[in-house]
Amino acid sequence: MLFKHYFILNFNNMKHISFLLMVMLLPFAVVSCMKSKSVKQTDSGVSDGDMDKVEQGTKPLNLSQMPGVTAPKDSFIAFRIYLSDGNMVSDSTVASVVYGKLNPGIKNTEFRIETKDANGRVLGTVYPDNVFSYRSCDDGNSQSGTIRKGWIEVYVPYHATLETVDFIEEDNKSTRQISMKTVRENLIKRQRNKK
Amino acid sequence: MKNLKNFSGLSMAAFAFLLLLSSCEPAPVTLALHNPIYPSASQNVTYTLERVTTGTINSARLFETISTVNSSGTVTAGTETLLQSWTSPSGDLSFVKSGGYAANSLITYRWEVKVQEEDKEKTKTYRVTYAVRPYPVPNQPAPVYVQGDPDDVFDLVFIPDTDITDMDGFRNHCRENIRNAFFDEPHTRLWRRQFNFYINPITGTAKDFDSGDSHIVPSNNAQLAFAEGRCLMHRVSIRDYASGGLFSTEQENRGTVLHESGHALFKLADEYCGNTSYHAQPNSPNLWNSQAAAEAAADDYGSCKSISDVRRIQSGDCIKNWWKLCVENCQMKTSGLNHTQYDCPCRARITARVFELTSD
Repeated sequence: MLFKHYFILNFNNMKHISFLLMVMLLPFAVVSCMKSKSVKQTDSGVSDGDMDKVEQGTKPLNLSQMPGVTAPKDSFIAFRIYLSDGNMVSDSTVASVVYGKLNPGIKNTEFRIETKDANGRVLGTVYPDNVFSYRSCDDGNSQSGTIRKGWIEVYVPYHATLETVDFIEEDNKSTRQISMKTVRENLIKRQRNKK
Repeated sequence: MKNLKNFSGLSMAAFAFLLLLSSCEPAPVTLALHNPIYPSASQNVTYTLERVTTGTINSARLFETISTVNSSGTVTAGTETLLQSWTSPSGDLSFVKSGGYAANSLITYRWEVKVQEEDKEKTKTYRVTYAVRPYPVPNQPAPVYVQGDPDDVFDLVFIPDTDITDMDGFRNHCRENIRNAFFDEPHTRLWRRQFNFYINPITGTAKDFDSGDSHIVPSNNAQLAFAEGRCLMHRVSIRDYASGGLFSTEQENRGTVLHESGHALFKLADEYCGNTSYHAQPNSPNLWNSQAAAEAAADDYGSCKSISDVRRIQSGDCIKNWWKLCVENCQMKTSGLNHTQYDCPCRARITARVFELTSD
């Protein structure tokens, strides 16, 4: 009897204590729940909505986009330039038309390459890494500069009327131009020989 | 009876309380990977869905599609079949494809994962395509982990250096660069679906910066011009540098891979003081060319940054007219063996690039 009474009493106490505890903890639980959501957003700066938007905006991979499989609707000209004390000489012997995508690069004001026709009309613009510069970020031993001598590879969008290529640095402060006449003529010659 | 009533009332209250707490539970962060990253024909392939954070997976299914590609680049698409399904799994999920796949196969695997996010179930999907070694299309990089249209995601090609003698080791480092660099750094992990990775079949030769020689690019370099990043991985320790869109690194240096990818993929600027070039991108820069501009930008990062975080780029005698908000160990200040993390301004820049690519 005593035991039963004690048990009920204890249970009643437990019930009250538990209820009180739950009422006390409820706001903390709700706040921590809200906090976890807001921390998630602040830490990454990205909301679920942003993630969904990107996911919907990303076209799925198509197997026809595998390297070498892409139908040759995209093409670009690859050629080499020899640099000697800042002077440029194009090497038309290794120039080729490459079938595939050319990454246009990230639009910026530091460096861009423009292709132009004989009338100076801009045919295309790409923003690769500055082809004339190098940069070493090795820890505690950084260095950057301009290539004075050696071969550099350049890729520009293909266009039948391409006449010149302009290399434009730092907000139009410096422009170097190279004629594509010889490169284009040699490309046409080689294509004719292939046939 | 009364005791029972009390007990059941108490249990129900406790259960409701636990339910309330569990309804706050975020969905687990999971990573889908395969191993080896570029298997040869008939080699076993292990598919893993790794649980990076805790959380409930209600169910999961793994599918595969076996397509073929020939040397002319003609693809014959396969049909999707179910490999395995799981109900209320705990820990990481894994499936071994014994005997692997035939030569010239292009494999697409798809994880369909139902996770518990707060009080509702959400379906997450990973769809990854990779080639069986060797990729039969001549002079083309092999897709080893590709997920989206190359126009909409970041493409990075790993190029072996001529000094690599252990190609299995090289390919494992490629996988480690994916798992323990891109998928380990929290912000690139957040955007893990926005990356494609390839391995080039042709070697290049990295030159020591101090030698004054240029890197010897692979003979198919023009075929890699579709990618935002080209990473020449070598064995011997040299003073690495980047030029013409190609950067070199010791193959084990996850920090260098993420630092240089910061430049190549996201156009982030260096944050250390030295003989390097600084710039401020018009959209979400990580550097500013005046203290006032950096202070004005500090408000853009919520509680992550404040005016007191503005620091000039300087170290000892080196002082630049550039200012930053990132912490001192931000990935754009460091490189080397271990990666650190991108701080808030760098994260904002990465996100901006993700949006630029997907909205073009």
